[in-house]
Amino acid sequence: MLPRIRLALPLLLTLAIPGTGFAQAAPDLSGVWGRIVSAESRPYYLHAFQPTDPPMTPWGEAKYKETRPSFGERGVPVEQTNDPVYNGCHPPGVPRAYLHPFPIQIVNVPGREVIILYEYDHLVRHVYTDGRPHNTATGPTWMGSSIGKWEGDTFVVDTIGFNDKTWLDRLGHPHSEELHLVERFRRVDANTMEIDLTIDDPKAYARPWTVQMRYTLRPPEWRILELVCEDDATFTDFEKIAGAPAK
Amino acid sequence: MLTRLLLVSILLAPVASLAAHHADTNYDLAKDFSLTGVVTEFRFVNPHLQITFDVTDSQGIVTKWMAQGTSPNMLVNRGWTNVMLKPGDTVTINGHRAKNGSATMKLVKIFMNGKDLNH
Repeated sequence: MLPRIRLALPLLLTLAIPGTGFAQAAPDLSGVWGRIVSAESRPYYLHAFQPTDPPMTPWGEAKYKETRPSFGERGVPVEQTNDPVYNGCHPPGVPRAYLHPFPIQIVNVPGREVIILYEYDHLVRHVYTDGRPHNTATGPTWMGSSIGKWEGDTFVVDTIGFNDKTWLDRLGHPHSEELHLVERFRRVDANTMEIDLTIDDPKAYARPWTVQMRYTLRPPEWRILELVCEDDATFTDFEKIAGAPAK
Repeated sequence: MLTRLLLVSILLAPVASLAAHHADTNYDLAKDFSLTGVVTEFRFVNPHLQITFDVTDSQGIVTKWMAQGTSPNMLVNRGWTNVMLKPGDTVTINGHRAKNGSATMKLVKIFMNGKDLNH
């Protein structure tokens, strides 16, 4: 209970002080955004946030070894993976959703929330900006409980209350229900947004780690399209043929 | 200025190939492979489009092949539609064949009736 109070208190104080918080004319992140892939990140941008493993605890390491991802050096054919997205149609959750190469849309509801729509796989996040605390009454969830506030030009999203059924990335790096995700969204120019992701999960990782994603604003005619995991069956059926033992 | 910014954004944006991206261990990525045939079915379905096409060899024997490419969601933003290909179209598909010898391949590039669709 204590961590929740600790998280909520600064937010309440911020909103209570005149001239701070969301009520102030806040920068607007509205629009459809697509990933920017640097030359350095191209080898891993689809499956990992960084080129090396984050510092896992023994618990994290043991969970990681149980995974059979369909990407990276340990990659197996997709029909053999135990990736919860391809083997069970589970939502990728966040932060993994950022690694699927499909756009996101940010929608502002001033004074109430910021909604983030992820084309993959129809994920919706409600990031409340009206000062309410985290609400974990339902117990752990795929997307967790998010609250947000503006710190100058940066929108800070604080999320707890995740279940432990998702992988952090497409390599199988695990997380526990103790995962605390902080995302810092900042528009560095009219068409570019940076998101700093800090992953703090003392059960799975030896220390918090931070990575940065970059996005470019897509033209106004872009829209978030349909993409549902049930369609994956066409893909996995194909791979079963392509990966069947040779005759 | 706006034009320049937009241009820079486009250049920095990921350029998705027409290929699927998973571990790809089912395919012989070390060898390029190319086939020309006639489309019998075009499935513009997420997460990876699929094309079934008939390839006729020099003896006149027809083999049904299947190729799998990238996501329709990426392609529609590059001008593709679900009727981009239709049965009867002649396609040349470049990519990589499945290692197991089945008539399946990973699509990297495609040309239809002589037209380059890789944009």
